[in-house]
Parts: sequence; C-alpha cells; structure tokens
Amino acid sequence: MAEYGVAGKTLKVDLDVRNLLMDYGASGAALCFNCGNCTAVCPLSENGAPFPRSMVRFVQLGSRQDILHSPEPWLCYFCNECSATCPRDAKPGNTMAAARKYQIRSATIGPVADMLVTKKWGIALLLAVTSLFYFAGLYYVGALKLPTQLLFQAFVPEEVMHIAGMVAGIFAVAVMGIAILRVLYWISRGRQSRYITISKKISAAIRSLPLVITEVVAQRRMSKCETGRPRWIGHMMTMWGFIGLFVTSGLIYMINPNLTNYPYSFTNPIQILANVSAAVLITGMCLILLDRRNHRATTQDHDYFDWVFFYTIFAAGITGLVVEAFRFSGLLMPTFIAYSIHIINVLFLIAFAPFSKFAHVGIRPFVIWYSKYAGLV
Amino acid sequence: MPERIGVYVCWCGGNIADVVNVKEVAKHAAGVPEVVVAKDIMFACSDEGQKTMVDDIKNLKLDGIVVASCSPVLHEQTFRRVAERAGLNKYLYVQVNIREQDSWVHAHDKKGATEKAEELVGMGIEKLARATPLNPIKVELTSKVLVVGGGVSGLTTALELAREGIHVTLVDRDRYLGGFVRRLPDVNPVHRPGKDVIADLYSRVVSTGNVEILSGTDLLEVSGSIGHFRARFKERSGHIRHDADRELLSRAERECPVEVDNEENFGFTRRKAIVLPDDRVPETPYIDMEHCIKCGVCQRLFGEGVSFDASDIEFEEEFSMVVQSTGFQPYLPGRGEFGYGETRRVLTLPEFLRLADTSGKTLVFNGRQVRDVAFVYCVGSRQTETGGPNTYCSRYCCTSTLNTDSYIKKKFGSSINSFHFYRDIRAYGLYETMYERASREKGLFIRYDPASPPSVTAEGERVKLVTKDSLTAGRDIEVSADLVVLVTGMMPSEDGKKLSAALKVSSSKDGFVQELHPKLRPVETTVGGVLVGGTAQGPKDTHESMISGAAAAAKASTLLMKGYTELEPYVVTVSEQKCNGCTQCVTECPAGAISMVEMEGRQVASVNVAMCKGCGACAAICEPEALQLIGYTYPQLRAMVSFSPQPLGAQSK
Ligand SMILES: Cc1cc2nc3c(=O)[nH]c(=O)nc-3n(C[C@H](O)[C@H](O)[C@H](O)COP(=O)(O)OP(=O)(O)OC[C@H]3O[C@@H](n4cnc5c(N)ncnc54)[C@H](O)[C@@H]3O)c2cc1C
Ligand code: SF4
Ligand code: SF4
Repeated sequence: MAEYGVAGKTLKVDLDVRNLLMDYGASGAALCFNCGNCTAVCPLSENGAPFPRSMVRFVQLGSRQDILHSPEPWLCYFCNECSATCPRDAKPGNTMAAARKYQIRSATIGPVADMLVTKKWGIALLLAVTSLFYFAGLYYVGALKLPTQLLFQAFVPEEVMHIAGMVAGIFAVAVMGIAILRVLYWISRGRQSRYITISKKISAAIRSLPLVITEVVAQRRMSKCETGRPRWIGHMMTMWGFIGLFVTSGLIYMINPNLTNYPYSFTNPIQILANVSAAVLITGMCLILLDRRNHRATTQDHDYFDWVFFYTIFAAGITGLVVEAFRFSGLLMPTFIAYSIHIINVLFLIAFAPFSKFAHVGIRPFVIWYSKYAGLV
Repeated sequence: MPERIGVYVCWCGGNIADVVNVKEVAKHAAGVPEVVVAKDIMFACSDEGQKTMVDDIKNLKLDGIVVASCSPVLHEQTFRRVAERAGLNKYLYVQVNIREQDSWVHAHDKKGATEKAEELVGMGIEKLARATPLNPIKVELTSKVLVVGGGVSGLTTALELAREGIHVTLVDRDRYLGGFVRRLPDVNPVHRPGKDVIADLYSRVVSTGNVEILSGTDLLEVSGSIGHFRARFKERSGHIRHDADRELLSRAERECPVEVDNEENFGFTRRKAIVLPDDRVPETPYIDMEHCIKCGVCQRLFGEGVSFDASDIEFEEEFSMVVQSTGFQPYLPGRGEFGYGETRRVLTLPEFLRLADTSGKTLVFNGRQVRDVAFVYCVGSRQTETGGPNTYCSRYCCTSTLNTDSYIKKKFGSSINSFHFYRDIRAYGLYETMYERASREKGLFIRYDPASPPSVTAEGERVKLVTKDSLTAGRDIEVSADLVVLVTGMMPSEDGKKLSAALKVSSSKDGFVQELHPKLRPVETTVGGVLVGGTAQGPKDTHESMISGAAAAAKASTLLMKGYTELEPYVVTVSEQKCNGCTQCVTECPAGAISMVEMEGRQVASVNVAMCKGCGACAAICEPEALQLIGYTYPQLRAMVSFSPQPLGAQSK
C-alpha cells in the first residue's frame, strides 16, 4: 500500500473540517466509495504520492492534519480526468482544488482567504478596501483632484505610486513567503523522505532544482494532462504574458521613476515588450476561456475562487490596454478613469495574491521541488 | 415374488459406459436364474429407453425390473411410472446406482468399476426377487392448518390459506401480532411505520373470516404427523373485557398507580399495569397481573368487566398440517462486546430504533441531545474470523442500518452525523440506492477488518471508537460519538427451536429450520406436513419473509386441495408375538413414531406409520427381529449382503 498522509498517527475524524471542505467545493466527496478509478486514470499521480482518492478520503474524514501535510494538492493540475471517470460522480478534481484552497487558507489569514473562496461578495469588499486605501493616499498628499493635463504623474504623484506599490508588494511578499514556509514545513512533517540520508541531503536538494525550473518554464506536468493541450498553451501564454508585463512595469519603474519622455513611442523596446506581453496575456486568457467553453461539463467546476483570479488578471490586462488606447487618442477624462481603475486593480492583484488562486505561483514550485527532493515524484 | 426379472444397464451417454463395461454387466446379470432379459441401453430415461422397458414387460411377461443407472433421486419416479404404465406394481422395480456410486468415483479403475457394477446389480436382483407388491399409504387431509407465529410471514401464510378457503388457526404467544415488524418505525423500502403494515395485513386476515386468531396464547404441546397433528394451547387471560370502552380505558390507564418499564420500547418509556393496544392488533387491552397491585381503580370503572382472578383457558385441537413461522430473535451482544453493557451509550439496533421512535423532535438519550451516531455492522453475524458461533450473514442488517440513517435524518434533521463502521456493505439488489442515499446524506463509511474490530471506550458523556480503516491505508481512525449502535444479526428464536424439537424438524447447524432442499423443495421441512416460513428458516427481510410465508401457503394448499396425501410404504411393521417389550426401539426412533401399547397384558411396540420415516434404525437393533422394515426385510437384506458374484462362465444356466 502506498504511503500517504501522516502515516502512523491516529487520524481523528473531524466533520467540521469535512463540512468546511465541502463548502470549499468538495461537495461531491461524500459520494466517493473509494474505488480508486480516479487515481488509476490520473496522469500525474505517482507511486510516492498517489491521488486524488487519498485526498478524497482525507476530506471525507475531515483530517486537517492529513490535508495540510500532503503535497498532493499541488501536484494536481486540475485536468479533471478523474472527475470524468468517477463512477459516483464524486468530482475528485474539485476535491483536489478544495484541498489547495484549504492549504492556502490555513497558511495565510483564514478570514481574508475566505473572502475569495466562499464569500461571494468578498471580492467587492476587498476591492473597496483597496480603493479606499488608494484614495486615502491621494487625499493625504493633496492630490485627490480632477486632472487638467494628460500626464500620468499629474494623475497620481510619484510618491503615492511608490508607497502604495511598496505597501502592497511587501505585504504580499511577506504573506506569501510565510505561506510557502508553512506549507513546506507541514509537508516535510507529513512524510519523511525515503531515500535521502544526511550526507546526500544538499546534493539531492540541488539535483531537484532543474525539475522545478523546467516545471516553471514549460509546465511539463500540466502538459501531461491528456485532455488539456489548448488549456496548457493558454496557461503558458497567460503566465509569460503576465511575467512580461510585470518585468516591463518593473523596468519602467526602475529606469524612469519620474516617467519623463512618457509615453514611449511604439518603437521603444520597452514599449514593444509591454505590448507584446499584453497581447500574449490576453490571447492566452481568451484561449483558456474558449477551452472552458468547449469543456462545459468540466467548466461548471470552475467556481467563484477560480473566476475571481481569472477576471482580476484579465481586467488588469484589459484596463492596461484601454488606458493606452485612450491616452493615444488624447482623451483626458477617460484616460484618467481607466488609469485609476487599472491601478486599483493591480494593487488589489498584488496585495491579495497570496490569498487567491495566485498563491499557486508561489507555493507550487516549492512543493514540487520538495516532493522531488523527498523522492515522492 | 418376482421370478421373471428384466435388467437394464444404462450407458448414460458416456457417463457410465466410458468407465463401466455395461455390455459385460448386462451379460453377467443375464446369468442369474431369475433374469429373463438383460440389456444395455443408451439412455434408460429417454422416451426410447422407456418404451423398450414397457414393451419388454408386456411381451416377456416380466414381473419385476432392475434399472442400473443414476441416483434414484433423479429417476426413481420416472421408472416407477414405466412399471405402472406396463401394468406392473411400481414397487417391483429396483434402481441400482452405478453412476454417482460407481463410474463417477472410480474413473481411474475401469475393471474394478465394472466388477463393482456387476455386484451392485446382482444385489439389486436379489432384493427384487424377494420383494412383494406394495401400495402407498394414503392419509386423508382435512382443511385445517395450524400456523405458529403471527409475524409478517405467519400472517401472510394465514391470509393466503384463508383465501383458498382453508381454515387456519394462527397462534402467537405475544398479545399483539406482527412480530418484530410491529416495532419498526420505518420499514424499508415502503417507508411506513411497521404498525401500519401489520394493521393492514391483519385487517385482510380478519376479513377472510377463515382465520382463528389466538394471540397471547402459549402452544403447550404439539405432536402427531401429517393429517393428525394435535396441539394443546393455553390462552392467557387479559383480565379485562376485550371490547372495553375506549374512553374509560384511557381513564383507567391514567389512574392506574403502577408504572413499570415498557418492554415494547426496551424501557425507554414507561407503562401502566393496565396496557392499552395503542395502535397494535388485535385491539385488545390487558392487565399485567405480574405488576398489578389489585388496587381496584379499574375495577371501579369497569365493574364486572375486570376480573383479577380470571383463569387461563387450556384446550386442544387437531390439524392436518403445521406451518412454523416462529421468526427470529435479535443477537444479544455479550457484556463488553463492543462496550455493550459496560457503557450505557452502546445500544443495539433494535433498541436504538425504539429510542428514535419514542423520541420527540430531537433525539435525546439520557438527558443529552444526540448528534453523532456510530453504527458498528455485523455484530453477531459473520463471526468466522472472530470465533463466534454465527458464521452466516444476517442479510437484513446492512440495508436496515442505511435506512435507519436516512430515517433519523428525516426525523431529527440533517444535523445528525452518522458513522458506519462496516465490513462489506451488502445492500443487494435495489437496496443499493439506500447506500447511495446514505452517502449523499454525508454518512461516513469506515471499513474495519474483522481481525481488528473497532474498540469502543467511554469518554465522559461520549464514546470513542478506534479502528484500522482499510480505506485509509490501514491507519488508526478515531471517531467520537454520542451513541454507538451495534447492528446485531438474526438468530433463530428460542421458542422456535423448542417447537422444532417437539415436531422433530431438523435444523441446520445455525439452528434455523432446515428446508428439505433449498432448490428442489423449499419451505418443506424434514417432517411431512410441517412447513416453514419467514425468518424461522433463516435471515430475511420483511419482503422475503412474506414471500416465503406465501410459498408455504401455496405448498400447503396443493396438498389440502387434493384432500389426501400418499406416503411411501417403506414403514416398519411389528410382530407383536416376537416383541419382548424391551423399549429400545422407542428411544432409537428419531421421528418419535414408536410407542409402547398394552396387548394381552404385556407391553409391545406400536408404530405410527404416518410418522415413520422408514429409516430402519429400530429394525437394526431389534434383537428378536420383531420389527420389519417393509421394502428392506431381513430376508432381502441377508440375500443382498451374501450375494457373491460368480465369474462369468462359471455359472450354469
Ligand atoms: C433492527 C431491525 C430492523 C429491521 N428493519 C427492516 C426493514 O426496514 N425492512 C425490512 O424489510 N425488514 C426489516 N427487518 C427484518 C424484519 O423484521 C423481519 O424480516 C421480519 O420480522 C420477519 O418476520 P417473521 O414473521 O419471519 O418473524 P418475526 O417478526 O420474528 O415474528 C415471529 C412471531 O412468532 C411468534 N412466535 C415465535 N415462537 C413462537 C411460539 N413457539 N409460539 C407462538 N408464537 C411464537 C413471535 O412472538 C412473533 O410474533 C428488520 C429487522 C431488525 C432486527
Ligand atoms: S473515482 Fe470517484 S468514487 Fe472512485 S475513488 Fe475516485 S472519487 Fe471516489
Ligand atoms: S447484512 Fe451486512 S451487517 Fe448484516 S451480517 Fe451481512 S454484511 Fe453484516
């Protein structure tokens, strides 16, 4: 029998945890009769870390310990082949997603995460908080007024941008960092590595790195999902587009904090990179949308949590393009409004990244690295 | 006695002939002086085979035939009819089994098998040569049947027989009918209270006008045989008029000062010494004299209608057949078995159902609301691994437990959590949907291994269960619950066992009544005229119990409609002159057919032929050879035993 969960320890059944997980999307888990078909068909499940049946079982039992101490939720890419195969229609794929949410929630600040997981009005509340924070900053420096000039630094003074960005960024990095450490700690306590001795530890840790890099760069695991070629391409494009935009924003921010000579011309390399990234991002997301439409049976499994994440990124990309378009057309007010929305959106995206589905960007690579290191995959 | 015998040796295709040299056997048989013709036949039972024999009997004026073929279980009746068709007495035919007892078991030794067949056939001829024509014993049957036990199966049997115009006496020692079903709050799969199901059935039984219902009646004694069963009853007095006024009764109940635990509800409720039917049937009240203090409260209300010293009535009746529908009794766990008897919070499923049925809107036990209920399956069933006596599966319990889960959630709300510690869910057939429903309603299933059954320990006001769960890699799983419910199996009822003993009916090793043959002769017992229905025969749910009750009725009416039955003439006769009155045969007879009677001033054995099974146990030990088993007389047996085959050719014709 493959080892999984916190082996050797008495498992205390806790139905409150089970009920919470069912609210988190694992509502079908109670139907599972543990046949194991899902694990058998899962293209990503491996002997050292078999799933999803094991996780479905832990959810049924409401074992907080085992759910938190398992790397499996991060080894799953939600291809949903399991859900398509399940004879009980127990939707094991949703259970894996719920387990991820549960780990995110437990590793960060639960009530905040809940806003983005189960509370359907949560996103509005968090957006309101972000806006309030942003407008308060403007008011504080005396810049809360209608613009007279089509100049970004006239819309938002540099120090406000600077401070808001720093606060959101530091908050996000701190929460994410702690979350990563906690998840890694839990997982390492859950399962001891099976072949690594002390002397081999360092080399094993290093030898596990290339896998993580290929994983991040090319999402090798996701490409193994048999049903998901378009999904994989869409995901790749979204990720690279996002990284591109992130890099260009950072570059501009560093090279040209006062935004002199801004906007750049279309031939400026930075502008080219920005535009190409935006196009790639939006195309990727459209591909994902299209794929979800084509797989309606499984798209219905994409819940609030998932759509929040999708739309905030999408909105960040689209508002960015809209701002650019308005500015080139020389429309003052529309540019100002679109710009404000764009900034709030981006601030929101950054600040609450660790609580949203975005957390996978931080957590997943580390868990994959640990799983390789511990000989689980 | 036959002097012109025909011998037929069957090939049975290759079944016999591939091993036994049938031609040789026939040739050998032909050498016996009484044998007129000896043939080998491809299939003796085929139309052609039968015709050959009929023609031979007629043309060669045969006065007896021997068929060497398969087991008599298969074709004895066939060949008896052959004899009859040819005008021969059907008991002047002997079947020799050279298939099951020879060719099939000696396939490795053809020569030996052939010699054995020659010997067996020779013995058959010797036996036939000393046989006399016989006639079956005819027993008249009156249309009167005794049904013992008024559970669903007994009620069904009574109903179906009464509909055929057969008079039924239905006896139950309980004052109220319906057996266990009466106490079920929600009968799966109809989801009605058991009381209603029973009341329906009861009113149908009553409306036939053909059933005498003796509830609250003990069956003191029963004896006899088909056509002539004698039963002695004791009808216990209720000490109050059956038709007492309802309103006065309620008042009497309120005013009666005696309060005791209500056994109907395992003491979860209390009752008075005067007991009202309370939706049970028949709707007759009674006074429980064991607890009554004769204070006179009710007497003041009813006057003459109450009589504390009314005596029980004993009477006897005769029946031509008996149906045993004595049902089951739930397994009672031993002290400490899964915490039973040690922790108050461990109940059996029957107890739990009464608790749930008698609770109000919330499920309360011992003053505390119950939220978490843990069911432990297979308690007292399938004990092969645990060394217990009950190795069988009780069949009803998986489904009933799943149904109970749904029932309590329906009644007390979905805030109830249920845990199912099971071995295998045997919710067969459509009952699969019960399992589906229970899991949809979030019942948690934990699969334990009989080698390490759940441990149950008290923890304050709660109970802790720990087991190795085979669905979670054999990890120890701990559940904390308010109540533990032991899903107890079915056992044959003690009263039922006593009845079987009195009727000499055989039981299987589990203690349930044994059917004569599960496929060929269901609902018949080893005693002619005694049938079995419902759970007395083995674990069943209500539906199955009713089916078997109806089957018993159908079987009884086929005999009763004919008005008589024929018994094999192979019974024992007594030579009173030879009998020395030693009484050994009386103790030896397993059917209780022999008794001692007075004759000319001395005690001699007498045989009740309707009860005699023809086993010969008595004849075998009777020193003066006063007992002769017809069809297996001493001369016949001696000739068979001393028959020694002559090598072929050494015989002179
Ligand atoms: C906890 C539990 C839950 C169940 N739930 C369900 C369910 O949901 N659905 C379902 O289909 N089935 C259910 N069953 C099964 C059902 O109860 C039985 O199938 C049914 O009771 C069998 O009927 P019966 O007539 O064979 O026997 P019984 O019901 O046992 O009746 C036998 C009767 O014979 C009487 N008797 C016995 N011996 C004598 C004697 N010597 N003289 C006179 N009278 C005698 C008894 O007093 C009794 O009245 C359940 C059983 C249990 C234990
Ligand atoms: S396929 Fe469905 S029923 Fe089978 S183990 Fe997986 S989730 Fe459970
Ligand atoms: S029906 Fe179920 S609970 Fe009952 S003995 Fe059989 S397997 Fe066990």
